[in-house]
Amino acid sequence: MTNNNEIWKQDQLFKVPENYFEKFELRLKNKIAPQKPTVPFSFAIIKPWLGMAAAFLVITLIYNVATKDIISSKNAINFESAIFEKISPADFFSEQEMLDYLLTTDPKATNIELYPDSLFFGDITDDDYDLLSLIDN
Amino acid sequence: MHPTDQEILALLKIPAEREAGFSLLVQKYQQRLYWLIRKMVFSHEDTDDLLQNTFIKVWNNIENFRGDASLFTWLYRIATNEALNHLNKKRSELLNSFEDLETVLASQLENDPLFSGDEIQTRLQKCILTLPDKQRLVFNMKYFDNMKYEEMSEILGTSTGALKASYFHAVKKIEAMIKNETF
Repeated sequence: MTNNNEIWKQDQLFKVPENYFEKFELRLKNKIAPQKPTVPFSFAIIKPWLGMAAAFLVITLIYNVATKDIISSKNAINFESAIFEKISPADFFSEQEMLDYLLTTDPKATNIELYPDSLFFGDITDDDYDLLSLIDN
Repeated sequence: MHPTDQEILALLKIPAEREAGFSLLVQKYQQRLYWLIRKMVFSHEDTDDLLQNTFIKVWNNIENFRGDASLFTWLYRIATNEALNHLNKKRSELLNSFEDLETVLASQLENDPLFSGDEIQTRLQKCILTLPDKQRLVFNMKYFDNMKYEEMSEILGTSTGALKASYFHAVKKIEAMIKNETF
């Protein structure tokens, strides 16, 4: 297989439409920077957007005022409580996952202390607590 | 006479001259890139789309071109990726079809008014079509474009040894097919 044989001249086998390369650059430029039609400024165009912005502002104001009234009730949970706002690792795990971890982990290696009245145990009874105390640490 | 790549790059770096530099770049490389892509995808329409995509990518990324490779290598790399991605996309579109891409391209070649090869040349093209895409690309770049292995290595990111082996096997396959008329 030699390069000199005309049979191998692929450029002569494939043809292009007439003036293709002459026109290519112009078509490419039109594609890269297409002409955008200019829209004259008119207040009517932005009027609906102004209306939507005003409505959103009113809703935001009403929400802020209303929620302050609800939260200020003496029987409501104090959202400013640091303890309440504190996120603990327990928030990221299900109860079963925490149980599995506690049953398989050496408590001496951790500082985990469990109390029977903790939220984690829910409705634990005294009998259940006795059984738990028998688990080999 | 086309300007050098360095002259073109110098213009492209100046915002006010960027369009002029890009125009020179297109004029210098459009035909070479066109034929590179056309030999892979066969269709003029597809080649036109891919060639435009190539230059659009160049336009959008010319500011990020750091000059690690030559302008020529960078352009070729974009064009070959466009062609290979196009073929992969066509192949995946034919997954649920009874035909494979090679059959479709061969049929397209026979019916293409912009292909003027005779029967022998058509059969040769079909032989080349049986090669894997990247091997076909290597074959085209070496045999028809007479590119050096070092240039091909920069463009394709493959070692010159691997390219030489790929080309050698491609030639052997095509010779065997022509000899045994298995195409």
